[in-house]
Amino acid sequence: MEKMQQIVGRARAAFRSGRSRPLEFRIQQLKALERMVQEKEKEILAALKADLNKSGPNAYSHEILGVLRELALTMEKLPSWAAPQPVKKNLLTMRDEAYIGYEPLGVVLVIGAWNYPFVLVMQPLIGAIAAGNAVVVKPSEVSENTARLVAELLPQYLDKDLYAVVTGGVPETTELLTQRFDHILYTGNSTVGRIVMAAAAKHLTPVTLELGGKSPCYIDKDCDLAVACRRITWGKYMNCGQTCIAPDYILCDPSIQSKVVENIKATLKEFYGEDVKSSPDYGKIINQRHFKRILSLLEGQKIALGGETDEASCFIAPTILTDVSPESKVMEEEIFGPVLPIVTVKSVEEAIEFINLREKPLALYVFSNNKQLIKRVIAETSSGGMTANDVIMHSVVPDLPFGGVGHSGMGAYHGRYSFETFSHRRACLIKDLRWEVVNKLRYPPGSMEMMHL
Amino acid sequence: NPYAGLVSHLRASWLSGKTRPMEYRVAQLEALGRFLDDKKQEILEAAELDMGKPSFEAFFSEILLCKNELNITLNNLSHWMKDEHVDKNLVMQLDSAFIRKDPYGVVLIIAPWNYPIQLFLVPLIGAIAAGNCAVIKPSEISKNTERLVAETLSCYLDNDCFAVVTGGVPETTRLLENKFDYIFFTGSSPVGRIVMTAAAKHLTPVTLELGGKNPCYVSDTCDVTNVARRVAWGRFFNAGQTCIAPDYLLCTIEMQEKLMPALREAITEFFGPNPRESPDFGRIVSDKQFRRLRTLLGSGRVAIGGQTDEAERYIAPTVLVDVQPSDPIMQEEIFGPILPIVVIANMDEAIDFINARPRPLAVYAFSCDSKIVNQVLERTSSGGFCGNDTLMHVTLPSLPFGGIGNGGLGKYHGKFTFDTFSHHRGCLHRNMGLETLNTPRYPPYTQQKLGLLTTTFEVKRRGTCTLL
Repeated sequence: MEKMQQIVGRARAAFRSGRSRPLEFRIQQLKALERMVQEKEKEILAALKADLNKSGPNAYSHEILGVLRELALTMEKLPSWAAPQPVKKNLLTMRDEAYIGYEPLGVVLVIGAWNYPFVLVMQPLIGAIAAGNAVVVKPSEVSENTARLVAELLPQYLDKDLYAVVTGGVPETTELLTQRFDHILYTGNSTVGRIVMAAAAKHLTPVTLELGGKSPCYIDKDCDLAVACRRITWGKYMNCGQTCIAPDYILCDPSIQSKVVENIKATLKEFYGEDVKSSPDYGKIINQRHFKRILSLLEGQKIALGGETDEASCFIAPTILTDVSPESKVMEEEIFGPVLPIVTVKSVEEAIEFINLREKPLALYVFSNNKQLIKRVIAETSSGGMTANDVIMHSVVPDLPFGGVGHSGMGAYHGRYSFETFSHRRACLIKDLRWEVVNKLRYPPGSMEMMHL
Repeated sequence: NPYAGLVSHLRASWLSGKTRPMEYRVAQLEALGRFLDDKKQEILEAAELDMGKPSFEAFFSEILLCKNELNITLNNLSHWMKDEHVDKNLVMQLDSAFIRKDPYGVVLIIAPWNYPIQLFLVPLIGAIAAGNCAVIKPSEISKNTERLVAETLSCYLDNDCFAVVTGGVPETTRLLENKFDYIFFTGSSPVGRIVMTAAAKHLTPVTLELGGKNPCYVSDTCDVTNVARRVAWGRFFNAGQTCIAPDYLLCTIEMQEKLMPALREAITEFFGPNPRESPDFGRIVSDKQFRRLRTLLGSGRVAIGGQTDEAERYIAPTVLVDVQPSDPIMQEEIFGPILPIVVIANMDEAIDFINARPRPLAVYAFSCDSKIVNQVLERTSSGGFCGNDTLMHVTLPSLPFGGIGNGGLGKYHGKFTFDTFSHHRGCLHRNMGLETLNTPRYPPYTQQKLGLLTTTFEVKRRGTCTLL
């Protein structure tokens, strides 16, 4: 109890000192973060390998490249993002100064997840620093090597009081959540998301919740199946399926189901070779608990491909299930593993209805040569974000907001949206003390004639 | 769950897609406009019955401001609804990247009693404009307005998509058990917490427009007459029952002495020698609020006003002096026609005083010296800020209206209301061809591929390119 209160108290005092407000200071901290990522690349990659068995180039492109890019973008754009924004005035305010000022919120909390353990604390941290806040970072204890590394490195490069790292599991996080923050950004699952929001409600703390869900992937009969399946294979099996925006399940016409399986099978060979288990590019399930959870989803299912597992190394082969029943267990929860169920539907209408009967997903995918069909799927469904004719990629467009809707989350970040998430947009109107004659119109005693002026 | 049927009916209408086409939204918004025109008299009368709201004030806040918001929305709706295209990098030049404005679904709007039409109608405008269905829960405390809205709004709006629910705390509690796709609440911070806690169960996003004690700093260099008028206007509008009213004044003892006659003069100018007889001064909404305010009159010493009449729920425009920070009137949002003056030595002390307290919905600063106004602005934090006037920043729809900290979360007015009730969905529509461009991202992962990926995806800081 004492410890959390002290850490947050120190951060708050540091924030109150005002030193995180000047842009020069923020950029200097961001530059330090950049140096950290460049100088400690080896250590970061080693932690990711230990936690998730991610290979070097893989980990670099998924976790480090994105962070460096976000840092460069933020340092570049910060002056323009932070500049007061003049607004359109009306007749009564013509002579006044009216603008929106961007101000820090105060002390913000970033809770990371284990699946992309480095980027999921770094990217929010970058936005929070850029917006001028003090930040408490709580990396996921499940990816323990990365958590330990982040706790070691940040104080070596950043202002120790303003930016603190708290490590630990459920008890520590629960304790942390009793403290008052000015914004909480949480990445994780919906169950804990509810707990975070309820804790935030006690302090009226705004939250950004980056949750999950079952991201559907509809494959139209009219599309280049080879290309579609290639892209889907990439997005589904990267990080061993442990990606919040991975295509969770496929919806397609029964007539193309076996072709889909064939194409994915061919692509898997191309990506991971004949023996997936020995490929340095194929990850592992994070721990025994998730391994067992995913395994249980395979019960009673028709395994068209894969299904091999090895508990000791938390290995699950890239797996495809066919003719899956919508009521089965694998269709109830977010899979978060290398298991791809195919549910057959007879038409795009059926697919849309299927999707809309379920909770709004974080991502939605549709593959088709037919632009009208794509437009229709977009218009008649709702999701955090979506990509047509590919997967994952909407999350790397810097100017698109990244976030969920409904059970997949609330709020958004990435790039400018991170800055805005962690800023208060303050309405400012500066009038002149003269020109009182204009004000007389509004003062009592009032009359309706005055009103109509 | 008594409201389950209603909510699922609205949800079925929502799923049918009927609220999505622009024509539908425009038709509903125009119907709202007709409601304001047709029922203008009834709205003014109900407001008068509920809290003695002067018809001048009621017209301004309940009709005029609402019509402005309607017109701005109708004028700009097609532009706001359009997909917003965004910049793309090298690899995505043939793709289409845009932000789509999706409706949330079925939203809940809970309104308070002090501006009973405006505070449900302006959010509703945004909710409809963004393509949602809505449940409206007006305040039971402004019961005449509540009845008017419950009885007549259904004659104007599509009853399959918009419903009014009446009742008090028990009814609202039951209502909040249902799943909504967005909840917009205006009211007090304690109830705001309850609403957000209920929303958390369903992971429903919220906007909370709450309150606080809005400080008003008056520097020693200012035009006392104008300051007094502007402060008095903001404080006594709606008999002080305004979330953004200047709650208390901070100034030096010298300024207080200069302000007193000016305030007295402004009050007389506005309401005559006996404000109780003025048609332009309101009343307190309920006996409970009246008694609460009457108790607060015990803080400090009455310098102007102080008269009360329980039968009429009248409290005279009042200024209190010799107020200590520990006095009861400085512990809660006043929400009545009482202006306490807290004496400070200088601007720095005023700023420290403000910063030692929860962040308010608005901060006001008066000075002929713009540097002083800017200092107060820069060194404090609040939902909004107005220099050299009160209330006016919320009448400009291009400025976001919302709080921070205990003052609330989220913002609205103008386009911000539309944005509040829309989900901004990031969309990328890629080309099926050019598959070779994707090769660098696929396994087997190699350093060479990584190099290619880095070149195409990275953002270089300007001025860091070295000539090869």
